[in-house]
Amino acid sequence: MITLAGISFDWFLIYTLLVMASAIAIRVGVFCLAVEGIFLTSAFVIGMLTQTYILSFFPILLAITAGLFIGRCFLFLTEKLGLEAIITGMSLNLFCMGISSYLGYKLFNSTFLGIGDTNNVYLPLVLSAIVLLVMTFYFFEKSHYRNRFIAVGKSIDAAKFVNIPVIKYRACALFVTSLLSSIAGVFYFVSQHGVGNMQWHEGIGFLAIGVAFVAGNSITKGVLLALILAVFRTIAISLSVSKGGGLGVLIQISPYLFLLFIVIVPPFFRHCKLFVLNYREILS
Amino acid sequence: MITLASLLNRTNDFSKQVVRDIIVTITVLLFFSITIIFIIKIFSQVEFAQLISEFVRPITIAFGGEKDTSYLLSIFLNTVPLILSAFAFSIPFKAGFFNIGSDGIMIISSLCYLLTFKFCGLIGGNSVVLILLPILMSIFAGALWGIIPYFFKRFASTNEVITGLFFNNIALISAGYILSLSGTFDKAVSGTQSISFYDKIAPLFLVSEVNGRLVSIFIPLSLFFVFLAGTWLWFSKGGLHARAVGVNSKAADVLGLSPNCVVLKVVLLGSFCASLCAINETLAYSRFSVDAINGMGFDGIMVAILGGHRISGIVIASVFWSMWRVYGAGLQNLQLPYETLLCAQALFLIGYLVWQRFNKAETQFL
Repeated sequence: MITLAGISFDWFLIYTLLVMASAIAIRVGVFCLAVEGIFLTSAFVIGMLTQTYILSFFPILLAITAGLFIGRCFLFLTEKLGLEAIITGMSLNLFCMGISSYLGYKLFNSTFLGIGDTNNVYLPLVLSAIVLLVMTFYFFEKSHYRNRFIAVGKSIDAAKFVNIPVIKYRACALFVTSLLSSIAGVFYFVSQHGVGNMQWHEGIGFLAIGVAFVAGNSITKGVLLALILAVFRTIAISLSVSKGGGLGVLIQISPYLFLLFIVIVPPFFRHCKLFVLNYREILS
Repeated sequence: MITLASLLNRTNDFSKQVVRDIIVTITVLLFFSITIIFIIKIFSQVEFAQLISEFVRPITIAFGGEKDTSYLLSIFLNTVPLILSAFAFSIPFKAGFFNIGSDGIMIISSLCYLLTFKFCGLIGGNSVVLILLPILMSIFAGALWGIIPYFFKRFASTNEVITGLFFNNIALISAGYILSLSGTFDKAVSGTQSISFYDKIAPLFLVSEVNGRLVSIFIPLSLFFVFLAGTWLWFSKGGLHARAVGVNSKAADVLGLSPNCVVLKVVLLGSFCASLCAINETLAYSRFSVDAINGMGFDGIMVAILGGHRISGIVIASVFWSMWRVYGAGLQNLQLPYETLLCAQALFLIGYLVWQRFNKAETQFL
């Protein structure tokens, strides 16, 4: 039971970091599919570094820097050069997948990068992630900057009209998105005791973006959904291990079905407070 | 007479535009290719001349002394699914629907084709049934899968990119589950063994084998249908309505075009193209191959963007990207991993988008 709770907590933290990262990007009107690529890059960089160095502050810092670099590339391509966000995000994801697999094969001739003991960094990493989440939540939800970020996402022209520097606000939001995604990648590596080849990432980033969309403009609802998904996923994985076979495979689609169910439900059950998610404001 | 003269003028303008598109596209693609080959050279120990000679091999075969027609045929056979996949993205895109779920449609279509074929074989269907029923069922299943994101968008205001990505994963996992019921999932996925139907299909489809791919009469047929769809989009009144909805759906609604119906129509047409692509790939490898289908949707998106969503552009970009895929296989002979190709693909796309941005070329994205 305690083990299941621990696994649920790990997944909750990973989902929360990614959901919050996606939600912040959506808040300023950017559809950042590159979250997946940033997540993947930081996990692979720390994976590669731990093959040579002991897992400590230095590899973690480098992995986060690599993630931030990808985020910066996304910002440069979309904001400075004006490229379309979806295609740019997909291309960056593909590039990250290609380069990480290429380096994995080239340097270590292996599809799996694993480590042994992670206890020395687990607790500090969890604590820093929680502190960062709280700070991000406060900054984007409770401070007086909240409305400015929302204004940038709702209408660029209106935001410019009231002298809000749109590009600076977007850059700030994308920096936080990259930072949270990078930490999620590092934490994923540490919690899973290593990562596999380019197939390992399981589309976690896409699922998190989906959660952020379903939760609409609310970070609180996003975190709540991340908690539900984490518990749901832990139960699904433990069931699939115990049941095995076809049912185990089928259980893997349950998180997607769960999210799609939530999307359908609100029009019919508007009175139910849990499901009144204001996703319509940004999705239409 | 006035109408005829204006028509001739329009044809003249159009042919000029096509020629300009072709020249510009080829030049830019070649420029990017050489740049990326140069980048590959920096990160590998292979000689630049060796990389270039491998890349221009199709041209030396076509116009030089080397006789290897199977190499050229291999490029052509790789081109066909790319064209089909590109149209599967491009047709809905022109009406403002971002169809990212082609991979899922292809997986479901391919699976449906094989299961129907297996079922028809079990009940002892005749030749016509064995040919037609799997194709029809496959197209039907693809259409059903393809319109789900549309309904989510229309009735639940969900973003089609997110639902498309979800349904790709759902299709992949569901296909695994369905195949696991017959105990063949692991074998089919790993590609070590397949649901073989070569013996049955060969006499019906005039199948022969080129470099590990089977060639059937379904290839020209599917190309014909997809060019029909492309012609509809660019040269018919219905296609004009679809493009009008893509440019401004509210204005189209005011003009009485019914955007929802138009989008539904193009989504179905896109699903049809994706299904044709899936059937082609299934026939080519005579099995359900996840490796062959998965990722084809993204390749199609890339080709559609490189080709500027035009018929001529898509054909050129498909041939070009097919050359790159064959080149990627050649790179493995030069001790370079296949992942190099993925990086090249991403760099290609980003570079081309940047080039379009600075040239202010006609594109919906910018």
